[in-house]
Amino acid sequence: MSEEIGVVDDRQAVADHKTGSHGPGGGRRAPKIKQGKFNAKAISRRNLRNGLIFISPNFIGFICLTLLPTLTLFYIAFTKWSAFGNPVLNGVKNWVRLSHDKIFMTSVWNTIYYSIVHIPLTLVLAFALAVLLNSKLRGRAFFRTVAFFPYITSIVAAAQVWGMLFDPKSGPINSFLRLFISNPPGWLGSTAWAMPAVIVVGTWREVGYYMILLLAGLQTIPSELYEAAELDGTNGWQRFWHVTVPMMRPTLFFVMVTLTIGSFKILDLTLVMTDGGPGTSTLVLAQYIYRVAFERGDFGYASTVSLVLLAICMVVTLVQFWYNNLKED
Amino acid sequence: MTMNVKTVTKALAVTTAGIMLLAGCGGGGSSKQASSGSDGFDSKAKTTITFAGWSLDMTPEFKTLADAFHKAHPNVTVNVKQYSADDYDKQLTADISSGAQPDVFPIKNMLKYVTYSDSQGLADISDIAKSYQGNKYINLDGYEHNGKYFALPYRSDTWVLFYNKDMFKKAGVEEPNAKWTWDDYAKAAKELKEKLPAAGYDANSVYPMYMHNWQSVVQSFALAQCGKSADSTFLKADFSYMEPFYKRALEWQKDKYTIDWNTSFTNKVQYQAQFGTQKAAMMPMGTWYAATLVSQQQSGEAQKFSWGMAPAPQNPDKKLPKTPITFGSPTSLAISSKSSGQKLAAAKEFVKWATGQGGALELAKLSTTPAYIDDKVTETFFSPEGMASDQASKDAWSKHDMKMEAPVATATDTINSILKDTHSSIMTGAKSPSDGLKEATQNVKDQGVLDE
Repeated sequence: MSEEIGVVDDRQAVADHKTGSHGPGGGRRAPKIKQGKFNAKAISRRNLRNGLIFISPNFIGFICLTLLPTLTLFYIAFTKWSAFGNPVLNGVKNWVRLSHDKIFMTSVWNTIYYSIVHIPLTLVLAFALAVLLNSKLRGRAFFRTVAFFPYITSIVAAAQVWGMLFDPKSGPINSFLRLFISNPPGWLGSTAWAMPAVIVVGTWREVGYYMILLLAGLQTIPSELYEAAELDGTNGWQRFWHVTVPMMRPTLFFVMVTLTIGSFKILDLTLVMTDGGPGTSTLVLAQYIYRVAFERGDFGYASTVSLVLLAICMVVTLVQFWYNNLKED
Repeated sequence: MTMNVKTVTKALAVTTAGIMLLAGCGGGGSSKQASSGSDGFDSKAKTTITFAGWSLDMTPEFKTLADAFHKAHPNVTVNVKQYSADDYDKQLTADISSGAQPDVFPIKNMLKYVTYSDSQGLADISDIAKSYQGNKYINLDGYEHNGKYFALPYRSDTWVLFYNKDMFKKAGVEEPNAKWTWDDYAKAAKELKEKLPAAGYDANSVYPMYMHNWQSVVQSFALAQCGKSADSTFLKADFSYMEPFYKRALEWQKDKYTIDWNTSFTNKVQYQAQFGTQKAAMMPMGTWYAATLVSQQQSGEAQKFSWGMAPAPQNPDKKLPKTPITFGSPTSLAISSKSSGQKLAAAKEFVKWATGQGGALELAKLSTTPAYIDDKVTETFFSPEGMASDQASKDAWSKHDMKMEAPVATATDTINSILKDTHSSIMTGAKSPSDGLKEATQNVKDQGVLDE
C-alpha cells in the first residue's frame, strides 16, 4: 500500500518535473526521484507490464479464438475449402452464389424478423420488470430470483418443455386459447407461427438477465433527483421519462448493444426448438452458417455467409454508437 | 568454357537421372509393398496397430473386434483409440487433415467416404476388395471410387419392417410378408386401426404404425425403390420420384395411422418407446433396433411381447422385385494412408478379417448386423434369447437388395441438408409435396453443387 502511494507521489513529481513546474510541491518532491528505487520510465514500464499481465488471459484468448479466426475469415470467404488440405481461391464465386441463394435470403429475413420483434419486446419487458422490482415490493428478492431463473436454465430442457406447452393439440397454451378462439395456431408445426413461438421463448429466457443489468443501473440513480422532481410537482410518468430514462442511458445503451448482437447471432434456440423448421421458416443466419460448414463441409461458402453476418452486426452496432454519441453531445 | 558447360550439363543430367531413379525405386518399392498387402504380412513379427472407436463403454464392437483379432493373430496387438460418438467425424476430419489418423478407422457414414478418400487420407485397399469379388455374402456396391476401393463395409444395417406379433394376432390381422407393397402396408394399418380397440388397445394412444420423423423414412425408401438410378434423379436434383411416397406418408398421418410428424418431431418421440411399449404395431426401422429391443425387453424398458422382422414393403407402382429392395447405411473400415510396412500389412490383415466371416461372427454375437452375412452368421445373430427366431425374420434380415441411403457423391451432403428442410415443410403441411420438391430442386441448383 505504501508503495502505491509512493508511486503516485513519484508520478506527480515526474509530471511536475516534465512540465517544468518549479512550484513548491515540485521542488520538494524532486529529490525523491533520486532516492527512490524507481525512476519514471521503470514505473511506467512496470505499470504497463502489470496491466498487460492482468488483461493477457482474456486478450490472448481474444486474439487466438476471435481476432485471428475473424481475420482469416476474410481470406476463406473467397475460397473453396472442405477443411481438408488448403483453401483454394475461387474469386467472387461464393459471392455470386450468395446473391441468388434463396435459403440465404430467407435466413437473413428470419434473423431480421427475430431481432426486430425480440429486441423491443425484451427491452420493454426487462425495463418494466426492473422498475417494478426496484420499487418497495414485498418479496422482491424472491421475484428477482424467479425472473432470473430462465436465464440459468438449460436451453435444451427448456426447449423440450416449451415444445410440450406449444403442442397444437394437447398443449396447455392451445387448451387455454381454445377458450377464446376455436382455431388456435399450430405453433412449432406451422410456418407462420413457429417464429413467434421461438421469439416468445427467446424473450422469456433473456428478460431476467437484462432485468438484472437494468436493475443495477436503476440503483445508481440518486434518490435526490426523484425527491427534487417530486417537489416540482411531477407525476410518476414524468419522473420516469425525465429522470429515469436519461439517467439510465449508459445502461440502456449497453443493454441495447448486447441484446442486438445476441439477437442477430441467435442459434441455440432455433437449433433445439425447431431445427430451422418447418421448412426454412425459423432458419436463422447463424444456423445456416453452421449447416453449410458442418453438415455440408463447405467452409468456404460458410465463411462468406459469416462475413455477411459480421457486417450486419457491425453496421447495426455502429449505428447505435453513432446515435448514442449524438445524444451525449 | 564450352567443355565446362558440357560437363556441368552432363553432371546435372546424371544427377537428375540418379534422383529420378532413386525416386522411381522408392515409389516402386512402396507401391509393391502396398499391393502385396496381406501377402506381405509377417505373422511372426510383433506389431501394434491403432484402431479408432467411439463410446467404448456403450459400443463393445471395437474392443471385441480388436481382442478377437489379437486372439487369432497373437503377434498383432490392436489398440483402440477412443473418439467421441457425436463428434467422431469432426475429430477424425481434424486428425486426417493433420495426418494423425489411427492405422485403421471406421467411416460412420458413406457420405463422408468420398470426402475422406478425396482428402488423400485413406490407403488404397483394392486388393482386399478384389478378394471379395463374386462373393454373394457381402455387397461392395458404392465403394468403388475413381476405380479404387478405399474402405470396406464391416457393419451394414438395412431397413426392415418391425412388427408386433401379439398385436397382429389379437386384432386378427394377417402378418406382413415378403410380398407386401406400401399399399398392403396401408391396408393392414386400416384393418388394425379398426380392430385394435376391440382387442383391448387404447384407441387414443395406440397406432397401427409409427413412421419416425427422419427424412430417410420417406426419402431413402423412395430413392431405393423408384427404379431409377440416383445419377439421373437425386444427383440431377430431380426429386419428383418422392412425390408418391410423400402422398402416402401424408395420407397415413391424416388417417391417424401414425403419430403425425409434427408431434413426433416437437415432442422428440422416441421410436424405441413407441414400438417397445406397444404403441405401434408396425415400424419401418434399421436392423440395429433388433439388438436394442432385445436388451430393452430384458431390462424392462420395453414391454415383453413377441415380435418379428419383415422385409420393407415395396413400391406399389413397380413390379414386385425378386429380392425385396430396401436401403441401408454401411459402416466401413479404412486404413490410413500414413501407415506403411509391417503396420500397413497388419492393418490390411485386420480389415480383411473384420470385414469377412471372422469379424462378422464376432459382431453377430453382439447382435450387431455385420456387412458379411452367410448362414453361419445368420444363425449366430438369431441365437440369443428374446431375438425373433422365425424363418421370415431371418430372411428379412439376411436377404435383401440393399441400396445406399443416399448416393455416394460430393454433392450429397448439400442436397441432403436441403432435403431435410423439404421433409419438414412437406410433413407439416406447409408445402404440398409437388411444391416442396420443386422448391428443393431450385434450392439445390442455386447452391451450385451440381455442376462441379
